[in-house]
Amino acid sequence: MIPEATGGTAAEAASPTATLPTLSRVLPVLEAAVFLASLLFSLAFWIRLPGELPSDGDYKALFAAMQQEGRPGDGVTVLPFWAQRAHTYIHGIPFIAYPSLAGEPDVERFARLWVVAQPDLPRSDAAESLRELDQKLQPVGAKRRFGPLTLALYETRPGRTTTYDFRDHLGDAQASPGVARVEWHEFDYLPRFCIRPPQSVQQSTFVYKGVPLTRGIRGGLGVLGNGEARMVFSVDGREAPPVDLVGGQRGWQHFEVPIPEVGPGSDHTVSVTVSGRNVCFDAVAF
Amino acid sequence: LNARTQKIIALGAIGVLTFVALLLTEKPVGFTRDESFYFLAADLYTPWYLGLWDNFWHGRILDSFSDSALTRAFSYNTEHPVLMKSLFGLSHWLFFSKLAWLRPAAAYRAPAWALGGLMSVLITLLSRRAKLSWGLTTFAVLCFWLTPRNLYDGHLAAFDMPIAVAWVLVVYAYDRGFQSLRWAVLTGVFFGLALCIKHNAYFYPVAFLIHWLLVFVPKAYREGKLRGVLKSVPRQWGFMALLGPLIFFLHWPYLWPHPIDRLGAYFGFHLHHVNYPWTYLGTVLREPPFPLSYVLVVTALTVPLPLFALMVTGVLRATVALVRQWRTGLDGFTLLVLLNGITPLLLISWPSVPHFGGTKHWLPGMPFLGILAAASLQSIAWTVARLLGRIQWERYVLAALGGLALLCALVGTVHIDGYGDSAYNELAGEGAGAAQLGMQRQFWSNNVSGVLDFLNRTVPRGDRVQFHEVTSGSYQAYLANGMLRPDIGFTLSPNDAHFAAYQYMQEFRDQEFEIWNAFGTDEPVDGLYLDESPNVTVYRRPGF
Repeated sequence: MIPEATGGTAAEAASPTATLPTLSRVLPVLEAAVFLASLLFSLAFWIRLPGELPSDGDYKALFAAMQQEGRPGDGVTVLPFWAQRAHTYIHGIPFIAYPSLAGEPDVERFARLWVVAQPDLPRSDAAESLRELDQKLQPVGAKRRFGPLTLALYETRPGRTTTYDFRDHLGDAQASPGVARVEWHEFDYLPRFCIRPPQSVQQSTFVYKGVPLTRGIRGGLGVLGNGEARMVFSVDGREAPPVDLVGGQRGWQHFEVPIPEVGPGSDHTVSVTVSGRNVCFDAVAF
Repeated sequence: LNARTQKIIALGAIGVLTFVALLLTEKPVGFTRDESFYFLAADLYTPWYLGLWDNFWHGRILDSFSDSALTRAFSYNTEHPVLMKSLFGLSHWLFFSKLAWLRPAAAYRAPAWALGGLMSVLITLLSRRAKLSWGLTTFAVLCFWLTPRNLYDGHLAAFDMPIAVAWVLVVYAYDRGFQSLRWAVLTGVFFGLALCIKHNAYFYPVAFLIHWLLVFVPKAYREGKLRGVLKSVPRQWGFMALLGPLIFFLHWPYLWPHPIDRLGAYFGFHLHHVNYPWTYLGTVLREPPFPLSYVLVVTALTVPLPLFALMVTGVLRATVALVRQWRTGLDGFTLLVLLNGITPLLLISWPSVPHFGGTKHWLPGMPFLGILAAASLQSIAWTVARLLGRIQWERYVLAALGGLALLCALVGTVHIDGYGDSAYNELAGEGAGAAQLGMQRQFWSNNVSGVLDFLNRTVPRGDRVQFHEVTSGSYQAYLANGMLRPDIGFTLSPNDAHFAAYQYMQEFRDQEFEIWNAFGTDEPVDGLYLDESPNVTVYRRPGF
């Protein structure tokens, strides 16, 4: 094994023809190049890694800043979405964590959204996600650093602010039939905190009164297991376009529907009719 | 001391050092689900052996072999042979119950560490047969053990390291069996022992078949046509075919009263083995066909990168060398090492073979890949020295490159601590990168050991904890080994618990949300985070 493995002899190396690019001379150089590249990559990785991981102190300082500047109605998220150690330090603030965050209706659920980002982590997509959020939301102040943690604050853009949360006001709604619950459920391995009508019924209706509305209603709809679902909003008796969930597609579907021609105001009656079994939905008005 | 004695002492020292290293580093490794089953099996089997000893001295040995006695002793965990479980049990009886030298878990695990020592010895012997220097031989041994997932498997009272060791032993004996009848017979004996450890052993001989087809058949056919081919069949095969099944059958008395039924049940279990869900590059694999690239990708993301690079270059180098030898006759030993390095990986790559358990199912290939890596390292050192124009520096270049490669592996091994089933390499980006890639973060529930200190400090006296995915046997083992406060109760449901330790596995995400619903909060109070990614998350019901 070894004589072959050495790839040649010292005499061959000293030969005037040693520079000819024959396969037997190129392969050992390629072999060495592959290894040396991997070695250098690994050494650099291990040298950099400690500086990319936040300490307890970094998290505590970050949360102290959030507490000092926090307001009721704030929410918080993390980037990358799986880096949820932050949640053990950040308490009392609604927490969301989703991949493709900028595409999530929940980023506009809160008046202000704190983002704890870790762009330096290996393979992190936080920097790209922050750029997307910069477009989607209105940045507030400059991003701050707490060690490797980046803290950013956003507000919703004009006209996108949540005016009413149907989930939070479920207790105020006239539900028919039965009593619905707000629960966590898993869709596509992600958590959704949603309104779950009774399992036994095919259709449920929820009537909310005194709902402030300016532009529309957005949220998500899912079926636990397989099945079809339809959700129809009507505002002051006028129906908005229905939201349909196609059967066989397990998952959570976002929606955003414009309100019918009723004009903005703070005293609308919104009726939500949900058809389908094992449905869960979430909605806010804006 | 003569050379033979020196060699024996050196090999013994290598084995003992490995055993001690495993002993000293095992404590942070929690108890896997399967270990809890094997602990129980060991406890059930041991009285039979003690009874056998007693019956032997009282002239009633046949009492131990009645169907009822065998069923009483061995009817638990019949999906695996009893060799290792019996050793775990006898070791526990001796080193914990009788001598109190080791904590209970360590006493169960000690036979696996002894086999780990044998693994180092075998890698050494094979490396020396490959004409590697002592330095490169050491590199090959460390290449194996500083791969965190290999080290993790080496700690456990399970079958994955033992079957890997047994297979390397079979290959070593097989190679020597071409020159020695004694080793040819021993090949059969070791193959039998491998069958007594785990059913994987039935598949690995395919490497011997290919080896024979490539090394012996062409020449034999040229010289003697079909008759020549038949005569070229290695004699080791005969001993493997004869002694393997015989030893397997004899070692497992439970089979004796009803061999057809019980063997049928054993093979039937493995022929219809369930597919456990497994997260791979963002997809939860549930049913075949599984991706053909799975084994290669997972290996590339888990073996320390410089070592993996050397394994790849080693495999390619050996392959090129063998291709070049095609007309003049193949180097049988190099081919044997190469085939045994890649066959376990190729077997698991088959799309219909269940894909779970991290890298343990192709562990038997890793020692051979380490030897090829060491050979490649020597070649690289020579090339680098030549390119530097300082061929006389070769040994220093070799030491520097080998040392740096092992240093990276050592840093990675220390970094992952006792959570080796969650180990990823530099290419993956360790735990953080693996989470971003959507890889399985853990699988055997043992990482709960990372939150036991918090639970011991925090859980009110007599309160219950939902230990998600942890078996009651593992929970009992944590109590028995003093890792968990004895008043902390165990429950399977969050509805009965005030604390929950959820193990992050993609396929069980719904169970985490059940905890949130039951506790009325999604806020964790503690957790095991590997490079920021949740591995085990602890929840507390508000008010408790």
